[in-house]
Amino acid sequence: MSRPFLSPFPAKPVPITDDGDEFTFCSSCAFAGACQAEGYDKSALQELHCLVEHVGPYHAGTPLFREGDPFNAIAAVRSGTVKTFRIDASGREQVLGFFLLGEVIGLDAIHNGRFPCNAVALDTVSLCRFSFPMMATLATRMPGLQAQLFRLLSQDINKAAAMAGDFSADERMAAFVLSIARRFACRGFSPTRFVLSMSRTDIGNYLRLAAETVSRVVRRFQDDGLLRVDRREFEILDLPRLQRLAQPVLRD
Amino acid sequence: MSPIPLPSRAPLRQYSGADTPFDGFPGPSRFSPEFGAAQFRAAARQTNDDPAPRLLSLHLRLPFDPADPAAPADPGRSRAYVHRLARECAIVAPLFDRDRDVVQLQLDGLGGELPDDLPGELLHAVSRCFFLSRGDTREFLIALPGGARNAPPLAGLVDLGFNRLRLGTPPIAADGESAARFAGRLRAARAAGFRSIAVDLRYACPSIGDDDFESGVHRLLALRPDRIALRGEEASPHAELPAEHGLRHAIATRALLAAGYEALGLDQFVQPQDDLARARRDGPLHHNDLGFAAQAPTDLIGLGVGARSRIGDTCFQNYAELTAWESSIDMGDLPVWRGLQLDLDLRLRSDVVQALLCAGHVELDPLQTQYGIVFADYFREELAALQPLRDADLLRLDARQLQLGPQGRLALQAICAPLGATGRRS
Repeated sequence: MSRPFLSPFPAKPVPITDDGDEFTFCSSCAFAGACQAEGYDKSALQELHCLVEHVGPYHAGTPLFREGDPFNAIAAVRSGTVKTFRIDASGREQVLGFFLLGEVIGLDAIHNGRFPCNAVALDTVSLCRFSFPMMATLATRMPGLQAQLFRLLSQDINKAAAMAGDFSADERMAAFVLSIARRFACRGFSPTRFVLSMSRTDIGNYLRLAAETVSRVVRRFQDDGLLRVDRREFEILDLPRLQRLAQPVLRD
Repeated sequence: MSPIPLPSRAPLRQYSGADTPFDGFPGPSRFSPEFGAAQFRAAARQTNDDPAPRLLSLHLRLPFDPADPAAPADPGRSRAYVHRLARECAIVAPLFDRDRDVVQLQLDGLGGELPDDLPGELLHAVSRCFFLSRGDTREFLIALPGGARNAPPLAGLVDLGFNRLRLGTPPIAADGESAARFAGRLRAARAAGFRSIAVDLRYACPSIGDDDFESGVHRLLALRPDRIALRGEEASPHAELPAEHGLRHAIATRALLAAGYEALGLDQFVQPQDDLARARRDGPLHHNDLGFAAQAPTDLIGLGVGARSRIGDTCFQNYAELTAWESSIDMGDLPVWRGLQLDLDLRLRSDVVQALLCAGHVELDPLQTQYGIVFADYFREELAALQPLRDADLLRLDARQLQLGPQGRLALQAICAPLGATGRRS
């Protein structure tokens, strides 16, 4: 039976807004909190030649930054999904992570002044780019702001190694689905219904599972009544049981 | 389940929708040749990448129906056609990931003088390219034409993996001999082990009186086929119908319900213990170009001349002209003629119709959020046109959902026509 699902495009209660200008942050700005905590309002940022601007929309497949590019901006995802990855010596892609709306990409580049990986849009992506001409000196020009920005790091970063660790396919998939659901939930969207833009190849790559294993596990979860999936739409039906399954990985 | 009172004749006549044909797909007249083989490949790739890709339905379309102008005349050409169909499978199948099982398969268009081994030859070719499910609730249907004197042996068809049979039905007022032959074939089909047997009941027979019609219907019902589809004219099942056909449609409906058949909708009736009846109650139920299936939603691959496909949010049709289809295949190309990418409006309508046909209701909140609409505004005109049906409690609308009334399935044709993608089969 077909039932339409909630899509992660702004509706309520936390809409992604477009109401800022050069003097005021947008009411839903991902950077506002960090900046204001250090005493920077938007005009102060302007004086420091720090540019906060909306860019995009980029269509699916657009590269957003490449490994080794000089680093001069971080960006918050305003809509869509971004995938970060590296290419190994034999040309194989290794998926590093997925970034959903409200999450910030590029933070791990601040130290070295170069992007340590590649980023690509998985669907139609809009970003808010926070660029600073000499990003490497951010720490000295804006003391404390860098630390604040790191608080925006995706919760997923710590879990990335865990996901690929010594856990069963079921445990890894459960942890993955749950962590995505939580990330949408803390942006104000449904905690049990969401749309995923990642392919099963990307999910498998990220979790170190074969793409077919991803599907086998998802279909089994469906047969067991844990969740319902059609195309890219997920609905978690039995949250407590999914949480128990994911517990060894997420440890909470 | 408490018995639903039989509807009186008047609402049935008025709201059966027998004269407002509904075509589940967007009509192929909207398809464009600019959207063809390359887009078909892209759609297959994209659906392969879903977390749990939809499983597959295959439509193997033969053009040997005597009523079809493209039908080749002799066994030699039919064997050549089947060889090309096998070749088409080999071209199309690799586009779909290996773990996408075929859970529904329909072989139709058989007719005239057909070598016995042709279904077997075809199915063996298909099973070399695709993984064919062996589950009990699979929908592997072969449609055999009525009155064929040398139909392939039925037991052999079951061995090949067919578990559903659609038997061409003689006219309702057929003479005693053809009626008896038909009854014999139906008994033989049961004995051969088909899980469901489906027949057509043609109600557009102006040449006979009401009484003869009614007794013909009861004669058919006495054979207890598992599934019965009401059909109008032979050549075009959804042609415009004169008023007396509406009456016949109502008589047939009433007789079916009185005999204990359940209405699925769109003129499809089933016995309460049939897989489709169970799927309507407990899920999963899916509707596509081939009709209802007791399956989760699938992607449909059409094989053969003029066959239609639905993959993700795209629709396609193969070349409808035999030589164009043949040359494509001979060159090793996908014989896709034209297609359509469903836009937001068509996707929305498709979701609404699918939900009504299968679940029997549409939850408005998730739909409104997903598509960014207010249902009552977006479908204002359609809802106004459906007001008489709402007044007759065939359709209910409240803040939470759009829902079929207790007898709403009898009016699905009339309900879906304005809501869904309208258009006749071309």
